[in-house]
Amino acid sequence: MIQFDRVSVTYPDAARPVLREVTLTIDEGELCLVVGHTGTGKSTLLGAINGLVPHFTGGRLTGRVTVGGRDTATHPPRELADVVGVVGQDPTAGFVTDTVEEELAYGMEQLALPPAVMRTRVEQALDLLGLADLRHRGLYELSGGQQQRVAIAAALTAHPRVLVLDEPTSALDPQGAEDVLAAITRLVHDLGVTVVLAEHRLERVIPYADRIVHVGADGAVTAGDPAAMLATATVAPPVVQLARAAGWTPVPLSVRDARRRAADLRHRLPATPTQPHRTATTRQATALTAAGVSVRHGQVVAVREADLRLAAGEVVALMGRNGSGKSSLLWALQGAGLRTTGRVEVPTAAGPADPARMKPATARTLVGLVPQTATDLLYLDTVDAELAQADRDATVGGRARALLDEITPGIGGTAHPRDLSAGQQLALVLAIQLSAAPAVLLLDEPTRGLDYQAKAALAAALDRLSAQGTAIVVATHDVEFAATVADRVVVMGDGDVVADGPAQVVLTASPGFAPQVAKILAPLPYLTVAQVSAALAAADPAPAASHAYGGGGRP
Amino acid sequence: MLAATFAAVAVAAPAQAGPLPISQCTTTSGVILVVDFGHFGGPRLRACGSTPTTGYQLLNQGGWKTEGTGHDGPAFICRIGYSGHQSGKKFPTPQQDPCARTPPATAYWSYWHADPGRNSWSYSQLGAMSYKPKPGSVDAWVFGATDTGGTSGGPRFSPDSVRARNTTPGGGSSPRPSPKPSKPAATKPGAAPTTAAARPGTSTSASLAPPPSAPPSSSVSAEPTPTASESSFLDAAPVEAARTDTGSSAPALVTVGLVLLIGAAGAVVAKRRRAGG
Amino acid sequence: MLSGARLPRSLHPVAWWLWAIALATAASRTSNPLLLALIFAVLGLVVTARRGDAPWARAFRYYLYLALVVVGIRVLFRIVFGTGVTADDHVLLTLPQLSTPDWYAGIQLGGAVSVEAVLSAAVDGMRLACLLCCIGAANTLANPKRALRVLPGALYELGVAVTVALSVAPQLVESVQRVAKARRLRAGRARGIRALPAIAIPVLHDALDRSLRLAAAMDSRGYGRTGTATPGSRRITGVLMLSGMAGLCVGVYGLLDPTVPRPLGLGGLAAGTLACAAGLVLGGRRVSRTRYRPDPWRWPEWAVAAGGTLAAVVLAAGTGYDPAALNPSLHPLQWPTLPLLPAAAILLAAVAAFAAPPPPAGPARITAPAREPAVDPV
Repeated sequence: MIQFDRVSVTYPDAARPVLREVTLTIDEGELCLVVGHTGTGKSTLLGAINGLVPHFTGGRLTGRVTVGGRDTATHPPRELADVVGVVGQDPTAGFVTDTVEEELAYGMEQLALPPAVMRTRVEQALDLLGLADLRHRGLYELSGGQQQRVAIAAALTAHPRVLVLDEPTSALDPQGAEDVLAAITRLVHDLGVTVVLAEHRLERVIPYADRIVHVGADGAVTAGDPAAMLATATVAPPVVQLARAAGWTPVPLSVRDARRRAADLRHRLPATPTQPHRTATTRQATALTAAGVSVRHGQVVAVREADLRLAAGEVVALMGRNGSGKSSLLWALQGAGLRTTGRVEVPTAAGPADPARMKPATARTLVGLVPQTATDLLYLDTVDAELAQADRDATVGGRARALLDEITPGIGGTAHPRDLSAGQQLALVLAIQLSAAPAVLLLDEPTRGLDYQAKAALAAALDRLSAQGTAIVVATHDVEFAATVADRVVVMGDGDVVADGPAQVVLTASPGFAPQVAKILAPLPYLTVAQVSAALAAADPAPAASHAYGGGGRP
Repeated sequence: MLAATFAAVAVAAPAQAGPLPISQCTTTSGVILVVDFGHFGGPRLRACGSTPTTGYQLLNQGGWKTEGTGHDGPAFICRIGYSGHQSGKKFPTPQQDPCARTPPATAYWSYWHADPGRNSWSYSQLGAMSYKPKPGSVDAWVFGATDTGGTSGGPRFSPDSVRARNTTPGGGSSPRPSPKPSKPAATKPGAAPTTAAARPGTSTSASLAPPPSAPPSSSVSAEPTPTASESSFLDAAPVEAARTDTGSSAPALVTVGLVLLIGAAGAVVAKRRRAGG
Repeated sequence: MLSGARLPRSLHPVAWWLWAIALATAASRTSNPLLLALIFAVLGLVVTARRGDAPWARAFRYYLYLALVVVGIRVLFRIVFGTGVTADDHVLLTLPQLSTPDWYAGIQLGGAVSVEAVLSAAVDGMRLACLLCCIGAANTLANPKRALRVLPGALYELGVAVTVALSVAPQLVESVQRVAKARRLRAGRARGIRALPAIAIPVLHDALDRSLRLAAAMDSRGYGRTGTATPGSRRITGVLMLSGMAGLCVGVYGLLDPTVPRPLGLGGLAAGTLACAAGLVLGGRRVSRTRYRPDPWRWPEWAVAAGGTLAAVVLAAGTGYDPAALNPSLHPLQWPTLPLLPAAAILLAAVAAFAAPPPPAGPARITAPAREPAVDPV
């Protein structure tokens, strides 16, 4: 169906090719999972399938890509639209019309399908993806998961033989991601569409994948059977890491498989972990007190009378679905956002102070916030200029560069901030905010778009900060990340604080918020692969060496 | 250059200003006003006014009346009428120009001055409300097209042909503080401007005025002849301005009623839709 | 009973736009406050009766606010930059006056404010407001993007460009709000013009990224497929369209400038129209595209469009009534009259409220309040 014949892609100004000599055949009806770190040629590989690379992105492609017998060199993306459907990360970026039904028909209109065919296909697609109730709704009224399902349905109505999905769930909350991935697997089973999928929530799709294509940092591409590939891949979900730590072969690919294999492991492990999931750094001193904080946007109560006390050195994960009020609470705590009622106090040398009543320049020395779209804070044209500006704004200047190198070393000073990877941008913004030396640091969805390595780097940075006594709140959907960094977990739902307690307790209380290791080892209270490895090492020092791959675990 | 006829400034009219019979204008006192209705098949009308005054005041006394545009207000001279000409009908007529917005440069009243002693026209750089004519000067209004510099489209007659060549005011009367133009005979029988007799000012000019006590009704007495020669003028004698009534408020009330009715219909429709939906 | 044409459905957007543009034309012909009030009433009635539940259908009130602002600004300007008070005017109040020297005779601020000036500014503002509300009504009654879909095939690209621009605008607003708020987090001490880069650069980057992604998505979905056209026929289409446009421009210029001989203007216009039409036909053939659920054009569409057009024709023709009544004078102050024929024509345009079929009832009304925002409200 799809054939890559010795394909290399080099972008202008790039020193080396992003894809090197790729030879790959993907058969009809296959579900092919593309893995690799961010910044490797994953998106390039996907883009080359329908000719967006190089027709749209520029760059030089050597070799030959054929899809359904058509050569992409002679067929631009629009001429391949009837063979390849494409769904991107952000569904709203691709919407052309404004209601669900029209969006589904758009591609077919371009292909000049007869009206009667369009009518029936739209009805089918609405049913297939469970969108029938939403057919007349405006696209921007939908939730993220619904929007992504519309985007998939819109790609499907043209009856493409190949569906290319580039990280379709990276911008979604767990429930939305679940819906979308369920829809994709149903497509594979019911329609036999060839699916090429890049996805970082590997654990959800691996059970259905026929093949894994790994894109290396040097541009080399290897493909193979999922279990065999994952046993050695540098990108691996916790379930695979656990398998490596426990020495299971072949590697189980789903929580269900792993749980069946884990009966023995559960016996071997001590009932209480030999080490906590993270070294507690919580101190006695209070870093921030919030009482009765409410935020109201018009008729919508985003946060309802939330109480929160943060101790110095404590790391709190703030969880909950999209729209549950996490962002609103963080903004209200910082003082830059709306706060309808309640009070926020940060102890200072001159007594308790409310950041909302202070000048922005003073408030950020008390409470720093890294917003969801971190790049909103970047406006200068080099990294050095941004750091210099941060030093000018800080009370104690000259530390920004050191802070940045501590989080992510090796970011060039002359690089344009917009050209950095998502992880590097986050590091830069974090360094800028930390240069004001706030006692409390708030991060809104920092893990969005980060790969396992970048997440590990962020976790390490947060560890160092908390050890220095900074109180940290991380709003996140990422259960695994929360299990790695948080002492305490606060769950919000519909504006209310639903649960507030030690991570160990909250994260194992319900399957929705449980990390994979906890699901596999329940009822044992283990949260991370590192805990398991340590326990195994204590019990039997010999086989413990194999967890060295543990990118997602704590270093 | 339309701005020349547009006055952004309201200048309080001098208290002394008023209309005068033509004979009162001399080479050194009073201002001659000429309005050329030739574009509308009408005559060139000539009048006299006292100084100090403004171009606007001169055009709005003694039976003269102007109208501005909806957009710019009265300071922009869009229509000019004289109660002794076509019953005071103002030109251009609403059919010709609605006078809602600024008229086009191809059809508007352009404003010209000739200073005392000079026999050439200059395009007014000021609006009628801002310009203060000098004693003994001539103000002319010509309808038609002028180019943007005011270099073409000027009056087709010389200032001298319009001037009252009096060296002293005819009849010896000085400008009256508050003239009663409709009954000038009472004060100055000899110089009554209402008579149809030609004044000695210019040989070819004729006097034009409505019957003394019936200001705007019918003034067919001296309809202009289109064949009037290049330098022929009709003297427009000062008359009392037409009295205007404020009209009836009935149409406004009817409209309010209609709008209320439509509003009620809208309310009913909205209610039914809400109930039905 | 009535035919199926009156079953709930959305009326053809072009019918609504014709109706609204015709009413706007009528409004632009008059400064009679009574006629303008009638047009307002008709707009209000039709919008109340026939708007749908879609997001754009809630926009009319914003046009109304904007209209009020326009009237307010117009009156305020007339008060501040007084344009002259005549001796007969009724002075309302006198503001302190700032004048420039006589020789300059420039703008003067303040001075006497007359009832006439205020009223005429209000009526003038009302006319502008009426035009605004006509456009607002069209936007409320018909989906603007759907209206663009009826463009002939050769202009399809243009329509898409406008559609995309329309959807970018609200996103840009959201982007500006978000970045402006985020600026506070970075102290954001700069004020005024120096604060501009800190807001503009992230916003522009955002917009650029988004447009690139949209372009890629549209390309992948088959936008701009060339169909069966050869390069030669594409070139001919281009030449025809360009020369046609040029001809149209020459023709319109010729007709508007009285110094150009009339036959030349008419000739240019005719030639331009012909060339454009040929280009459109030829270009339409090269674009192979179909339409999903095209809107039908049936008798309610005719009725709505005709109702509006009649009002425009009656007010533009100026016969059958005293044309002076369309632009009543405020000097001297007098009550405006209500010319019968124009008033009747405007009232007839309200027929659209009943001739048009009721809009389809969407599920939005039931589910909208329960919806969940796509991202956290930032």
